Amino acid sequence: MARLQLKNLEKDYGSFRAVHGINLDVEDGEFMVLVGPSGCAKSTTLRMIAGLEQVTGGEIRIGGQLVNDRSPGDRGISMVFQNYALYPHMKVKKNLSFSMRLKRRPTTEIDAETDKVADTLEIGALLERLPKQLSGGQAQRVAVGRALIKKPQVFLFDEPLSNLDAKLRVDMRTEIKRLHQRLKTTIVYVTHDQIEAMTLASKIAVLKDGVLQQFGSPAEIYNNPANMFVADFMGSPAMNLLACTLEKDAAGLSVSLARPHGDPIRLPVAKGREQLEAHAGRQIVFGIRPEALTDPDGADRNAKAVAEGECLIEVVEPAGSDTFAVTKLGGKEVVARLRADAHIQAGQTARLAFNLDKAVFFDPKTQLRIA
Amino acid sequence: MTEHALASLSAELDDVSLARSRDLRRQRITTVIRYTVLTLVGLIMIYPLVWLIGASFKTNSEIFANPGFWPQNPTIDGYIKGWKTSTPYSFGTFFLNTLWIVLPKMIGTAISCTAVAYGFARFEFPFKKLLFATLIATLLLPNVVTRIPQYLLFRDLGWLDTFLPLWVPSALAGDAFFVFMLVQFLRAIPRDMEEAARVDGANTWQVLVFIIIPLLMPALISVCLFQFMWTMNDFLGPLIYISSVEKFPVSLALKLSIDTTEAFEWNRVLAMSVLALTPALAVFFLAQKYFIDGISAGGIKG
Repeated sequence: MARLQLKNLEKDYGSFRAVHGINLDVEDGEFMVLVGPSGCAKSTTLRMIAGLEQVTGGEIRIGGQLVNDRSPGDRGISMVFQNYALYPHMKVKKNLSFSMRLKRRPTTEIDAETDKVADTLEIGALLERLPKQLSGGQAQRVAVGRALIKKPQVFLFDEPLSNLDAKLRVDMRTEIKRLHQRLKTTIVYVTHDQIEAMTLASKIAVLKDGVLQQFGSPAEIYNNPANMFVADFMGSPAMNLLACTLEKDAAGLSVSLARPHGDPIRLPVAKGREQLEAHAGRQIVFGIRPEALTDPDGADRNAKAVAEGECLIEVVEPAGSDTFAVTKLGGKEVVARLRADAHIQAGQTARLAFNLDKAVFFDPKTQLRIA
Repeated sequence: MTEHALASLSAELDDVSLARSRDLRRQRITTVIRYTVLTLVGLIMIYPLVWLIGASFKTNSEIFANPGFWPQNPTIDGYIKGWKTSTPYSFGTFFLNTLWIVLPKMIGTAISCTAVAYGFARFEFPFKKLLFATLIATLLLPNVVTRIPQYLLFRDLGWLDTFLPLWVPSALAGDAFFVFMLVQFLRAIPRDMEEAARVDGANTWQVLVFIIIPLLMPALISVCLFQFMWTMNDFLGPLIYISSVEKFPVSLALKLSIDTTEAFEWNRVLAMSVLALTPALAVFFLAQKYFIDGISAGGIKG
């Protein structure tokens, strides 16, 4: 177990800069998820931590030790690969014990450790099989076991669930989380799936084009996105981002959103958003998550600033646990999250409640959050 | 009305079954024709070999008198006398010599070509592209062109009439074709396994020995088989570099019994030819499965 620090980490491929000075500090025992769309250099960053890619600039420290020039085997890390990368010519048992056999540990110790790991992951029955005789989920467990047996300071996971089917993915997700709760080892986990990131992480780092966008707890990332990219990327369905003008009158600050029918909806800005004063009269981007836009009965009772308005419902999408309703505001489609039993039909107008405590505001030029 | 309809239906069904049996018959006939032609062509192709085996059991005079392949008075005289040869050495010596050329060459090829292919397929180093292009270019070089410079080189090294000129080039990955073959095979193997091994703590050589070589095995078996057969059949190499009879491999020994003292004892030559064929054939059939795997396999199932 150890703390992992990245300082100004950079990676160039020829003249192309893939990673732009990333700074991360992962505390001992934290589960850090690197998330971002494909091509955001999250895997490159992970591979640099693993030692499989040369570092162009900056520092990687594991447990305080600078490891930039150490070989992957000497960094105190172990890694689970996307396609498991099991050694196809070795039985599961040999796959698990490969690292120990390289270190020439005594056979009794190897056997004991292998059995222990096999018990932990419930793969005892598979020890004599070859990787090609395993199912996807079993191969995944063996890959985790191979990482586990090294007792690393930091675990690295490179999109480990992306090759599994939907149900198995959810099961394995829970299992990885349980494993982390028990072992309390520092984990760095790469995924492009923001739900995986939200459910697993104790800290999330959102990357885009090799630039760190935000680093924080899942709640911080979700509720207080640093910029429009993070707001849009995290959460499903995505946050509604609507361009509008910030108005100021005697009643205070407000934004108006045009409706296809009737007057624009006027939404007062909740108290405590003084930073917005400087932007009065300017174009801003108003962001509200689908769950902050509900039917009036379903609105958060603790919310202090709730505004209601009639909206024309264009599409209704029942999802079982919730019902999503699509309406149009400010010329853009807006998704509202209603209770599953909400009586609502496409083509009708319905009263929706805006929880303005949860609203966020961005500067359209810099894309950064204002309030 | 219905009866009429039924009658016409059964008539149609009759037609259908008639047409189907006609089809079946036609299929059967074409199959018979196809197999007859294939069998005939196959027999024509294999006839020289069958004749060779038959003739090796004939007496020397019968070989030219009787054009058929079945010997009238079968005798193993050719084998016995052929084995003894007119030299002080028996064919056993020549077989051992062949083995003594083939085995080190095969092992040397396997080791050196694997190392070189690993380098080209997995590492970045200065002038890699140029060096690889040069290697491939040597594939296109006719063998004859390099014979004389090679001969002079080995003469100056004092290696004439030893097996060294036959072993050393192969042990230094001189067979560009094998290197090329292994590089292609390696390129199709995903790197993840090697990276996993490095994370597990393996160094470059351990990755090669524990991960790459097992994965390369089908290709390596093919390389060994090719080298085995080509070296068994190589005539020119030993002819140029080996001059003393005691070091002759089988390919040279066969010619030996033709031209000098033996006045064309054809049955002996044929008998020894049959024996010379057997090791290559046996090895090929034993390793056929791996051989085909090695040539056809493009990669590893993920």
